Amino acid sequence: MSRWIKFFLAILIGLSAGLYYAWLVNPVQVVDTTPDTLRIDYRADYTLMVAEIFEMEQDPAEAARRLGRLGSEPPAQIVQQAIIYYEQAALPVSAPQPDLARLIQLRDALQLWNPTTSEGTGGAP
Amino acid sequence: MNERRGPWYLLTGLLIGLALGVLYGWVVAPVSYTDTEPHTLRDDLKDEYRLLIALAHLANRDIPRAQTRLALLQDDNPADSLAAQAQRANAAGRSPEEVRALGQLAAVANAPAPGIPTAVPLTVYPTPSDTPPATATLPPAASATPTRTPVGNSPTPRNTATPAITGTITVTVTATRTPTPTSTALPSPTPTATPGTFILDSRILACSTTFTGPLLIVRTFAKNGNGVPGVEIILNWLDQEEHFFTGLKPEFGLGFADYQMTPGLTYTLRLADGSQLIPDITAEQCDPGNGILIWGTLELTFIQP
Repeated sequence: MSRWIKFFLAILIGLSAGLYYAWLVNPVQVVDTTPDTLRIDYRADYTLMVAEIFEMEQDPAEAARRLGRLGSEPPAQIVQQAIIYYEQAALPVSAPQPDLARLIQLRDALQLWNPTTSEGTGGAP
Repeated sequence: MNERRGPWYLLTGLLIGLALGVLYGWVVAPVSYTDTEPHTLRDDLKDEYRLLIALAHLANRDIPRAQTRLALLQDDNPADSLAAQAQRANAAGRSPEEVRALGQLAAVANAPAPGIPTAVPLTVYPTPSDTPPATATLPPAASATPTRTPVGNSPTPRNTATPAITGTITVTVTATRTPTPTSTALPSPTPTATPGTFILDSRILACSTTFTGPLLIVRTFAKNGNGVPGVEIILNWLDQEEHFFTGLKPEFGLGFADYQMTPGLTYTLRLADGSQLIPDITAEQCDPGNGILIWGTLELTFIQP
């Protein structure tokens, strides 16, 4: 076997060893994450919690501040993503109509809400 | 000449391979966290998540849903975490509503909830195979159709059933729940304070060594005998005012609250729901029977008639 073949085999073995160590022996422990990295179903539930609270508080500024944790998109768009999720993934099975209604109510309120004229925190951080 | 090089070129290859792996992992395709789960959140963001759960529970009174959500945070003891957070929030001067929400959820967080499946939040959470989700366009809804796959690695709620909470008074939680969680809000078995309905039932100076210091203990009970968490208590003295809540120490009962008094001060107490004013509350000493005076524990018990 030529030296070059052995040399590249050694590189492959080194790569394999690195991946074995990184994936099996000492895999990445995900800690200290932020809500914007949450999986879609958790994001949808996070949004639903905000909608449930909004139903009680009727405070769009506070809802927008909470939704700001999920990313920099406009709050109404974040809610719309959750609505799409529930419509496409959850509704055919569990039909959470009240939840969907809450989300729609929140989305509509956020679409009308103007952070520059409202009192309070004035939007997402 | 080649024979004199020896096998060092193999080691060189290994090192180059390792270096390439690290370069690829750190520069070309560094780790980016997506699709994480709530238990991986930073501690302060976990607190925020927990508060959201508590406020949502305050709004919908859906205990199974709140318990399922709490399980996602994988706290060793959700009730303890909530109670501790409630006390931190109270000490930090957060809004009474937040403290009450955390306290009330702490009181029911470990209550038995039969039939909660090992599902992630709510009932069915299929995960679209392609994340992030379809680009949202404000109404009408987008037309993307994600592939549905069942959620495979969902955390299992770890509610430890503790139907009886033992303290000075034993309070038994008798919560009836739907065997499977639904997305509709359920009526809550949580006893909640109804404005203006508490009256002082007893005022006792206990002389025991169970609690130390000049302690004021307030207990609130519903008509059915269950402790009532989340009752706001207002204590006034001189020109100062202190607010605290029942239910922040569920290990002593759902309707339990305590306050360390300062000897020499005279307090006035009332419940925030507008119940009667209790004046002349002071730290008093008593003899437990061995001739040595200790600070007694003043226990005020409120009931709903």
